[in-house]
Amino acid sequence: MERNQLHRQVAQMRQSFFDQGFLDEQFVQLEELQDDTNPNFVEEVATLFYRDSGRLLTNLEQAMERSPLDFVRLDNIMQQFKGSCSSIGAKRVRNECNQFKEYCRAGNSDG
Amino acid sequence: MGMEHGFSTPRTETFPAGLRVLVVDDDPTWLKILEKMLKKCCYEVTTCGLAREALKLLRDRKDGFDIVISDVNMPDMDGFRLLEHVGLEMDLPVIMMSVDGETSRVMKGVQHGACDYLLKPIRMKELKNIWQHVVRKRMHDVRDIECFEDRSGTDHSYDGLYGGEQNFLKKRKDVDIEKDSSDPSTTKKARVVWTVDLHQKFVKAVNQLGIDSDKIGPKKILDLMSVPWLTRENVASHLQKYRLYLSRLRKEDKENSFGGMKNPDHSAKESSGSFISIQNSNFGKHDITSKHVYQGNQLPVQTADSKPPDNDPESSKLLPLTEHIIPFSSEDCDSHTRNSQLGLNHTYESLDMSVKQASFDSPVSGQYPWSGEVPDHLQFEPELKAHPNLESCTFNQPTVPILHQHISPEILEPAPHISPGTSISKSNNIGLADIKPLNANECGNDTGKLSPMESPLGSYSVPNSDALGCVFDMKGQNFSQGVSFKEQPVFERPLQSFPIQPASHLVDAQGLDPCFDVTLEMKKQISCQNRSIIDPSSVISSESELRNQVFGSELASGLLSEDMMFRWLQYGDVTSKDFGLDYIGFTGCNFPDFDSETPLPPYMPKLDHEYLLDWA
Repeated sequence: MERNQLHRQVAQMRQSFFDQGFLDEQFVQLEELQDDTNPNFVEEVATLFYRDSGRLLTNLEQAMERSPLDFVRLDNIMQQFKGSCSSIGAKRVRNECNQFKEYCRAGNSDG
Repeated sequence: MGMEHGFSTPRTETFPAGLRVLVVDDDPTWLKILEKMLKKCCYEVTTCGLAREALKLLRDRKDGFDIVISDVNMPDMDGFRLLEHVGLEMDLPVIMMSVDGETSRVMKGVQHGACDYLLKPIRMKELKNIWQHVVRKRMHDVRDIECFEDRSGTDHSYDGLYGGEQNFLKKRKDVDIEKDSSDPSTTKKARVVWTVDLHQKFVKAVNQLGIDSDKIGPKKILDLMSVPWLTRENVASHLQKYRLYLSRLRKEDKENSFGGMKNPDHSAKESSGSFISIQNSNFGKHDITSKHVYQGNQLPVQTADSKPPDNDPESSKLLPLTEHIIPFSSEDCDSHTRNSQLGLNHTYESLDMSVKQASFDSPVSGQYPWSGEVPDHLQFEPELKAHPNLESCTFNQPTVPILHQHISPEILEPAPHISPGTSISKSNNIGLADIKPLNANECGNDTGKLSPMESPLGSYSVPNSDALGCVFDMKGQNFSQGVSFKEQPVFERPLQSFPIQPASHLVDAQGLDPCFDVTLEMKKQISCQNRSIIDPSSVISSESELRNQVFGSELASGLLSEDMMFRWLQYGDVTSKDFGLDYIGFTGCNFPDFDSETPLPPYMPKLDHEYLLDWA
């Protein structure tokens, strides 16, 4: 049935996220938190995350446009973003954040 | 005694279920997740996005929480600072969390007194066990008492005073501990509650000995405090916390010493004045000593956080401000005030100055830098020896102005509380305005305008009266003589909660000091008075003026403020809503520009933010 197919598709996608390293165990934790009292928990959390990251990314963009680059500020933004990512288990993004921070520390504007 | 008896409240029957947790984190995603996780652990969760708000919550509900979980990186306040405040004021276990698990950060957390440090992402199992920290802390509290009992005679062998009273003290302690535990839930814990009074005594004793001197010891402090039921352990642990706090403030002060200060001119004087005033105003109590304790801490926090919408925040604000002022003397002032503000903010919910937890964050710390000079301040005697303090405060650095700023808004805030029924802002303003003129007069009636005020001020015997008298003059209202505060009944009527003392000592202080204190007091009094005496309409306008004035007076150590004050009085533009935060930025610098109609309001808001940032 279509529904089963959709379910399978979603499951596959989900699995691929884990395989590719986009998501990590935290996401599983969130899923476990979801229960009858809060059936859309994961969805709500994800929404919050997107909203918050949108804001952070805007800040980031603004900070990047300045010159010279304010690495301290960028680092702070990254710290916040990293925290957010860890909340839903967005591993890849988090790793990117770490790298970004490394660059900040090195003062590497090209990175 | 012991843990088995510790949990008698309903919520602890199925311990650890029902544990009341406060979560502080700027990230909404994490707040949601943690809330859900903690609920799954059957804990009672309260979430908060701002550190200041969290402190307010904690202060409002003194015994409302068992444990606090806080993030390290927060925009409005550093997580470590929040941690310190909570530890000092409420003595609750605090758990830190962060994405960053570097050893240095974890070390910092431990040093600031965190019970635990969790790494994000946080696992359910980690949260399940946080109750152990609550239990552990309670055990330690209980142990303090037990130790005292066990040690009868042994420790204090060299202390004749102690030795002889061991048994007596022991008995008293048991009884008093219970009494001191204000919350029913803590009675079983027999934890010593460091009330404002107690803390004040502590600070006084420490100042007498000299906080920086190495020979300061819990025993000596205990002796000086002469609180029979207090144990050496209590003092020792409290001293340790206090020292940590001071050292941190000092470091921060050094870094931020002039961050917020706009007016180098308003150094010591302002600080002292404001300090004192704040103290007075905040404490409402006649006990000056207690006042100064709160001063610094209380006010700063409030102002920074929010506008003075309600009485509670206001009152608390006032108190902290004073504290800040005093500590200014040294570099510590800045940091102290900030810290203190944060810490103290809420203790003064009502101007009545109910005993607030001894938040000695700022006042004490601030005091020490001056040690030579300040200690006097701290030990305010009810007789209002405000003067000495203020004068000594003169050495306050430019930082002081900053403090004042905070104070004023805060000071104003509390005032409203005091005057029941009347609009708080109004009362505050009035009080402030009144005070200012007084200060001006006292400080040095240079200006012609002041002269009329001088006369009323001259007789400071009645704290309130003078303030009021002066103020009204400035405004052009014929209050000066009309409003004679000497009629205590007038003041006291509306000001039930106002301890006249604050004003009184303000009044007595001939120097700058009185001015500031008076402002606070005056404000209250004036507000109260105003209501009863003054025409309401005029009062309103004067409020803003008062505020400005108070603010200005606080900043400008009396001497400078005279002109300002008058100006402010005429200002009338400042509205209560501006007052709260605006005043923060109102350093001495503003005064010169006072003539213009709007120098203050625009200026202040900015300062607020700066100030706020500094705190963070």
